[in-house]
Amino acid sequence: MTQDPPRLIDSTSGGSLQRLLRAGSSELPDEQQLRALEARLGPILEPPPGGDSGGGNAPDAGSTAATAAGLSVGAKAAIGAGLLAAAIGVAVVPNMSSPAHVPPQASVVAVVPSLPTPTVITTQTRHAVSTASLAPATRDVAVVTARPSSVPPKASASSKPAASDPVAEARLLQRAQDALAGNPAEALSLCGEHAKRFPGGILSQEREVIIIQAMAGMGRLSEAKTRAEQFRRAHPRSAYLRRIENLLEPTSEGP
Amino acid sequence: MTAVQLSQELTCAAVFREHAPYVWRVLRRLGVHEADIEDVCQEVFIVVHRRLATFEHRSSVRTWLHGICVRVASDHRRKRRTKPEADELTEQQAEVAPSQVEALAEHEARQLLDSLLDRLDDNKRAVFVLYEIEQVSMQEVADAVDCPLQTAYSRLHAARREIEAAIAELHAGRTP
Repeated sequence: MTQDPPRLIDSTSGGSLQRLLRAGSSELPDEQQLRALEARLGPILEPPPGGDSGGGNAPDAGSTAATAAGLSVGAKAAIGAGLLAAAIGVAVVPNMSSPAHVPPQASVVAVVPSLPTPTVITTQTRHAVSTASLAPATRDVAVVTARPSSVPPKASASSKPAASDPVAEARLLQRAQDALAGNPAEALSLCGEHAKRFPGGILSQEREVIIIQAMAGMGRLSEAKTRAEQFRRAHPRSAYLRRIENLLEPTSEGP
Repeated sequence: MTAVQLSQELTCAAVFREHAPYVWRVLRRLGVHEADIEDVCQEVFIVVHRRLATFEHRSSVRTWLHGICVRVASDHRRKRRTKPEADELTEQQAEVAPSQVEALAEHEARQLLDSLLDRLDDNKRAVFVLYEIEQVSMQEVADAVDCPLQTAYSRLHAARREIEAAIAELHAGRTP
């Protein structure tokens, strides 16, 4: 259909470049590396509430660390939410060392469908969501593997929206992200909305990055830096740390 | 068409299962250092997760992923350039020689390839990697890097010239 030129890798001359290209095309991560990555992604790989985890495919037995993580999370949820947070902490909430003056916004919901009686464990702080709408996301965990249809959540947060709705979360944050360049105040406002609607959202780190960027964009550098520092303490292994550093770096290093 | 594409409800987990190794490799060839690969892969899948709801299936999932990989890798390289880090040595030390000679040769070949690719700018590198290594069609390459087809061809030809010149240079340096 197209007149794509012959690829160098298919060349019959067998030159050294061809050998290099072949070597480059054969590299794959090993199982351990993939599992480590899956563990880090954690809840991001969780299925949406009530959704099919495999997009219609039966998941490979034991192939997905996220699934494995979900199961172990479920088991731990039966013991206590604290353990749950610790279990997930590897992937999402590493070593919480939230400052004493920062109100924690932990919202942990785990529904374990495989247990004989669906177990719902909800741990929430007393702080109203509205008061913490823009508080740094120091503890955000939401794992919902399935929602039992017959058993309503006992201690659920009926006063607030569902803790896990990745699609809605993503859409809202996408709007905030889109607003960043032209209207950081609007981005900030949308992040506030996100914090209210999804206090235990799985995209809370993303939200924080947008907030920091918006603050920087509005010239509120001091606040942005404070926020960045809180983020760094709360998420010392976050993939976003470098981006945040970059955001707050002086721009004098250009060529 | 893959099982993932056929699914109406595309999930991040499904994309991960099917494409994670591929994403990993593409990122490596796009210049993401071994020490950073996990971080950058994580970033790619965070983007996937964030944008999945708006993915419209106009292109294949792979083409979509290419675009994300190209942008995230480019961003990563830009940051790396502004921050030459002390972990270069650590990285080298971490690369313990594999026990098998063959594996070592492969490893060295990849290192050499990456050093050649490092000479290209981000635009040419992305086109070269996707077309020559990942064997994506030129139209898909153009879609992934978001440029007209003719521009993609131009970048490919320019990249080939630069790579071939670099190899010739290498050979000239090695042969007395």
